[in-house]
Amino acid sequence: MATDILMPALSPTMTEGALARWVKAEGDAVSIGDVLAEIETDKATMEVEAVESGVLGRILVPEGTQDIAVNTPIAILVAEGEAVPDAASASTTTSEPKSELPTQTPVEQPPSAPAHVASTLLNAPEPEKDWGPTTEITVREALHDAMQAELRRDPDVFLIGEEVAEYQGAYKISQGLLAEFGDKRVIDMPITEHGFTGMAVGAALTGLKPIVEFMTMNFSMQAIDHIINSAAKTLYMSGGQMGCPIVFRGPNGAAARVGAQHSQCYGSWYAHVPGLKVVAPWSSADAKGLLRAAIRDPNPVVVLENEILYGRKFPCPVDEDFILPIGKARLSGKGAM
Amino acid sequence: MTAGQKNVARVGGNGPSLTREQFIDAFHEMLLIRRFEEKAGQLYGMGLIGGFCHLYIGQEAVVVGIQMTLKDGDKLITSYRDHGQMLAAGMTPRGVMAELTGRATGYSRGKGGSMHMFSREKNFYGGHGIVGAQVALGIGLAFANKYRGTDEVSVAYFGDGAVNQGQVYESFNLAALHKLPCLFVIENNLYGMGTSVERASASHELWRNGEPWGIPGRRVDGMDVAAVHEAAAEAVAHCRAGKGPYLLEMMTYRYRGHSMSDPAKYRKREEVDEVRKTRDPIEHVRRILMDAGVSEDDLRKIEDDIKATVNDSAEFAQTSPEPDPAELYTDVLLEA
Repeated sequence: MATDILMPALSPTMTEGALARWVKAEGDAVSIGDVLAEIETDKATMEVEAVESGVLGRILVPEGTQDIAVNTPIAILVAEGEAVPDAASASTTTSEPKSELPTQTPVEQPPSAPAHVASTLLNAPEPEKDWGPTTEITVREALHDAMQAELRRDPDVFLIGEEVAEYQGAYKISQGLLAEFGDKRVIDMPITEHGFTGMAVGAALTGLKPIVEFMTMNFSMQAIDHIINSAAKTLYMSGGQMGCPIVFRGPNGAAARVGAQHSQCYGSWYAHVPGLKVVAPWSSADAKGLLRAAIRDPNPVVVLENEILYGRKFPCPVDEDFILPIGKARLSGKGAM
Repeated sequence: MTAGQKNVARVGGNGPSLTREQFIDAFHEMLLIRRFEEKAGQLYGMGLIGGFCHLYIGQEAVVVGIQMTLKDGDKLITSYRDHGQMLAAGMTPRGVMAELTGRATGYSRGKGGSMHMFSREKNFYGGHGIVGAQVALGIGLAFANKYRGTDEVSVAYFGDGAVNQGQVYESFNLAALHKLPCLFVIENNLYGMGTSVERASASHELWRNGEPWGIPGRRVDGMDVAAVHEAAAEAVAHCRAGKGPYLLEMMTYRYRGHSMSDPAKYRKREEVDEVRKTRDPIEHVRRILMDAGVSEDDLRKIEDDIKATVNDSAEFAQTSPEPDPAELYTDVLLEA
């Protein structure tokens, strides 16, 4: 059966090209993989290979022709001994592609966001839940208590980072956790942020719930490709199959007299990445409530802490179940109307 | 390269060969990948596949030989040259072709494309477009196997172009330090895009790159599915027994350019033709089967079945709908 050979698209941006040279002549036998012609694209000169065997029956577009649209028949391939048609057949062996070209299915109006997206952005203020009695604890203790509570609650949660286990934490956030949970779940890492962050993201893709502690968020920049490209984007690019329940946490922003490399704030960087949630707690209650929510969240969450606040005391509910929702503003006090 | 050559001889010489049925299966699997990729190339040429597209043609024996040594639950991850891995893992040609053409019926519902496809069901963790990222993610899959106390193994495929990424060495260290059940497979097709291994790597014996961390390595003829199978069986057994990672360097070759828009001027056409003529992994198995008395008719039946499967996948892809534009806003975050 005669088959049309079509002008191929040979780059993501090519819509037309030139036929630089025919390597085969009419009447030549052709095997799969033989170079038929050379095509000039917008990027380079490319060889067009035969995808079926046969005889080059007729050349429809002579060499030297410019501006040939993609999918224009350029030659006809026939079986040996078969009569050669004069013109390209109306139907090729594959179905008509023209209506499938993306340029011909324009988006007439900007897509509208599904209702649930809008609704989460416009949460009506609800009354604050009253968690009852509080006690004064430091932000450091609040973060520790949050991790301890979630490690107790869910065996899939584990903590990795530099000096988190035997050293008891560079800032003592993870003090005592190794003794309680063992080295299977509180794991020291070598100073290789890119590697161990990628490892934690891989584990999270299988459903485990890692907490990755960066000694400071400044060092997360070594691993930022995995935070953005691997953790934040995989849910979308897998069509919703593969979520990444992981927490990236550590001290962020200005500390005291540590220089520009150790003082950077990543708030706006990470907040600009679709697929990441970002929280930056201030008080002990916010630190405990939001870190617990971050660990339970099915999405990657960046928790930006502040070193200067680690030693500050704030009241924090003593209720064992205390947790705060991510994405809901707290009404601290009413202003004048 | 004397040590490397010695290893090739060991692999080719002493390994147990495959049974006739295994060779038939391997022939089927490799030919499916070959024909599928040829069809993908055609659809790309017709503008039905957009964006980037990296074909696996020539390298089929690597994934097919390795897959034959794995069991359910073992996890896979690879680079952007991923169509062969997906078919070998048992993902359907329909779903893969539909994703290549950006359709709602594709594995990522049209939102991943050629380089980003996943299957939770088949334990295929992608399809990654960042060179080397899949190696660190791959040890994470192995970490999860160990954390859960299973004897499952994870296979992380990467190319010769990825071997000198810093995170690959970080991953070697972590995998060896924690004895993670991770099989590292370097698919050495001699070129990282347009740069030959000799011009990119001071180490030419890539199978030895894990030595500083005590990771055993072997160089294997990646064009010989029986040699791949034999080496992979040993490596997988090592990982499964809890002895830590293993590194295989598969000497292979891609017939097509790096991607569809690569004119491949960095190598001679004769080099490609020579490999096709003398080392083609599928023709190699075809000869073994014919010597074993399998008839041409039997082989033609396999070829016809595959042609029908591939055509069906292309038809399915082209008749499937594109995703609704509102899908741009879905799968960004899960409901907490």
